Amino acid sequence: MTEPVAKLIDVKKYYKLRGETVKALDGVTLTISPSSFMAVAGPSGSGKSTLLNLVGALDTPTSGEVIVNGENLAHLSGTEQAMMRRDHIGLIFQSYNLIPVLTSLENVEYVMLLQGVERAERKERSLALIKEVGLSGMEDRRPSELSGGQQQRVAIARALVSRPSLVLADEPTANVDSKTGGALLDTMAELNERHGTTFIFSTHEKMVMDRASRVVRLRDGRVEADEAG
Amino acid sequence: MTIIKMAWRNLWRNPKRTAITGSAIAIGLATMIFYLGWMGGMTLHLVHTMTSSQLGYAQIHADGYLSSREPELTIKKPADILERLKSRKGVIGAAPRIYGDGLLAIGDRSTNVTCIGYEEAQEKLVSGWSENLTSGGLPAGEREILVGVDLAEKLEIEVGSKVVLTIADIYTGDLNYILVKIAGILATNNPVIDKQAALMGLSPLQKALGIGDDIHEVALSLDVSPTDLEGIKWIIAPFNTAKTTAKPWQELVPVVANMVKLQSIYMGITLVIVFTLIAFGIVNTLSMSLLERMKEFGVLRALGTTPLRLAALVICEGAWLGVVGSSLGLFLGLIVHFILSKTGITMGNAEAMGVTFRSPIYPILDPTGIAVVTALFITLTPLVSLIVAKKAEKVDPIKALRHE
Ligand SMILES: Nc1ncnc2c1ncn2[C@@H]1O[C@H](COP(=O)(O)OP(=O)(O)OP(=O)(O)O)[C@@H](O)[C@H]1O
Ligand SMILES: [Mg+2]
Repeated sequence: MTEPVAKLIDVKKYYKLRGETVKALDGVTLTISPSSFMAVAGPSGSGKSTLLNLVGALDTPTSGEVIVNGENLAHLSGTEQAMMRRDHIGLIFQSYNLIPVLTSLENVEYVMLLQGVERAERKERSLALIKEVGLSGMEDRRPSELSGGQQQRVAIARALVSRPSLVLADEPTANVDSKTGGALLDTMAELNERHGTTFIFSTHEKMVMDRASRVVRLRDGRVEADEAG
Repeated sequence: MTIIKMAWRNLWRNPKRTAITGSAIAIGLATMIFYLGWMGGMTLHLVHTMTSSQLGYAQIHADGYLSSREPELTIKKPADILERLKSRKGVIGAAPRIYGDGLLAIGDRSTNVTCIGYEEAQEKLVSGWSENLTSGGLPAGEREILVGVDLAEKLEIEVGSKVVLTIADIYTGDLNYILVKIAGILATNNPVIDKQAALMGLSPLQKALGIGDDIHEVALSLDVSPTDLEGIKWIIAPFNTAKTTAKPWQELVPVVANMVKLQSIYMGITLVIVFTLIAFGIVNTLSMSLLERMKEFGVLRALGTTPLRLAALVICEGAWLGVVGSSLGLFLGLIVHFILSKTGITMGNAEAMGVTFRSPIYPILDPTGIAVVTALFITLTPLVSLIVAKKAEKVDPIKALRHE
């Protein structure tokens, strides 16, 4: 059997809020195998974002273990976590979060700049991905000159360009209409198939869940159901 | 797309705020450049006025004369020393002088005067007194004198007036009354001359004081910069003998020499004050920009940017601000400098260290000083940004991403 891309073992994330304990995640155990196209579903407040942040090495659990690419995140320093995100994890946000002063091309190139990839290779790989997400000809536009759907396509290209093993997308289609959302999912599914990149996206839209090969349902910080899509 | 380029673009996201802080840096630097030139001009004017007046670049006296001013402490056989001075390399002029107290009277008005005996041919090379005649001409014979402009006003005398000069023989005490004519009136920038001097030839004063052909002082004009203390000392060194003492002007009026030295300390203090004020503006600008872009910093961190690199971005933005503001300031400062070096700065007859600033001050271009101040502004700005960069370094991606 192949090594899992990510593994969560009895992960708990508790917040103290005015004396009360909020159990954002309350004992989640999951194994995510390579090339998954997985949805994390559940009502608002069920812990979807919390889960993605933990796998994305952005947050640390109260207890339990998060293992990404064979590394236990708890054993990594802040800088090592940054390197982990840079080299192995692609992030897609609900509100796109492109860097406004950079053009589409520069936004996509940015992570490779951090990695120290050569200028020519940076450009070649970025242009190729921009083409794959269907934005050829918009390389030099700034985010403010793109529609929401187009911005999210740039964000998808940005998340994939460093060839991560894992792409985490927190409600990637929540800010666009359902037609645009469907097209974005098409693109992600295509990339998942072509590059074998694992995708984990959170959603509460039925249409999105239907596209996933696996759906993990959360409720009150616990896994309520884990089914093939 | 490097972080330097990114910082440059970030700087212009809020052009108004950048313009305001940039202008503050520019005005600060321009002010420092102006101040540098003005101080230099003042100093040079002061030093030039002093060394091209009674003081000269250096003076030679009989041992002990300087501290006691005893009229008997004269330089004997001055012809010999004057001859040696004239052949000494670097000496432009060597002016012999005699000093004596006198009483100048006209009608029922009289006043104490300092009589100065001098030799026009050499004095012209040292103090240039005769260039400062406001009326009349040079003394034509033994019975003609020059007086200072304030003295003339006080005694209500003018060119052609006849006055009685009373001088005591320093050995016998016998009073010598001389009837003299006012040949000319002097206005130097030196209040001592203008208020109380009566200038005449060497020999009439030597006769009246009964000192033979002795003199009290030789004032020198030298072929070096007046601020080149070592150069002056080297030229006059052979005239420090058992009988005579030769001193550079810096030792004759240490107060002025020290004031010139203090100038750089004043400059330093002003620089610190000006830059501290500007530093608040820089920190404020960068902090506001950090707060406004908190979410973006979170995104950058989430993408794998290390805290150090994020701090470097802030420092780069500060550095750009410094470069933009300083370039503008350098340009502005030089323009102000060149305008003022054409028009001059009128000081309104202010008096400092015994020098009256009658003529306008022209700022001096000090390229080293300007380079140092500009370099300081350019390096201090990113240094100040460190304060904000420290905050950027601590940005927590999760918290920052929640920021709206
Ligand atoms: N920083 C925090 N401090 C306190 N409580 C928090 C914090 N972050 C999350 N929570 C709580 O943890 C729970 C899970 O939050 P999370 O954001 O993971 O939910 P979600 O499933 O992503 O919801 P949504 O669909 O609205 O995005 C919620 O009850 C939330 O209030
Ligand atoms: Mg959420």
